[in-house]
Amino acid sequence: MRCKKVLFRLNAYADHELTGSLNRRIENHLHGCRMCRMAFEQIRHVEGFLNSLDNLPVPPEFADHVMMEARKIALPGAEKKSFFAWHGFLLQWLSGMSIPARLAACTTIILAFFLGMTMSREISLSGNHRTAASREAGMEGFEWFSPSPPESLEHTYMILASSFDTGGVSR
Amino acid sequence: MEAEDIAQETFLKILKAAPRYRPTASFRTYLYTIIHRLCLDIRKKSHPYLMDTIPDRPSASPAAVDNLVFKERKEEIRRALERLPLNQRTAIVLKHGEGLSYAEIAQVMDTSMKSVEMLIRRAREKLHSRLSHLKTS
Repeated sequence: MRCKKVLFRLNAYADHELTGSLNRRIENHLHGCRMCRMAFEQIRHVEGFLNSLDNLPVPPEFADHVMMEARKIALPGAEKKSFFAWHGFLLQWLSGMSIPARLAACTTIILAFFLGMTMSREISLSGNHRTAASREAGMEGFEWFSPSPPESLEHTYMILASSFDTGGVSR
Repeated sequence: MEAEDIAQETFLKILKAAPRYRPTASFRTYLYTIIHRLCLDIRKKSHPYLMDTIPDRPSASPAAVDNLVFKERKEEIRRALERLPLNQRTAIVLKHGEGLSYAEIAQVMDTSMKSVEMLIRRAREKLHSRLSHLKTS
């Protein structure tokens, strides 16, 4: 093997990038050629220089900074994920059932939804009715004190409150 | 932008690209590819920067003198490295600093293994001619 070809591939040989017969031929050549051996030593010297360099130290707060920036990116995604995770759970639950059971579950959910809507409407209406009745009595919530003895504090308050409510008070 | 900013930007890019990541190559190669591209982008935008600030006056003790000589030597090696063309420097840093194979370096730099071998050979030749006056430790 000629020196020119050996020198051309010497770096790859030094970096253990060559295999097989080419590797062996270069190795044999180096045993017998002083000039190529010197070139090989030069490569090792340069390696020694580069290996003496330290890596730059990582500042102690670096990981915190990265995590802080990462959270800014990750949080909106996490919210979306939890929203979809809930739907995913429901779909998974339904997919594990037979078709009649799925229909029954869907019907129950829809009925529960409408029942909930109706009940909330009823409560709202009865609440409005009670408020109107309370206003009629003179003072919201204070009808509980109506059988209070005359000249008691409660009795006086009830008179004053009903007068204000009807606009009939005169100072 | 400094090394720390590039490192942070790299991690954030990986996080953003995580859903699209397919493990076709080693994660290390993927990581260095992102760093390499970021460095190239920054180099396009950046201005030349001043290398060194004036060092503090050293004390005169023998240990301090040795330490200073050692530090100076490292600085000289670092300067020789920084004077290399970008592609040669990238190849040699990936080889020596990070221990990547020629195939991995080729993947990171989006080039062929032959080109990597040539870049490393030229980089070592230049470094040797610039640092031949230094003794190996």
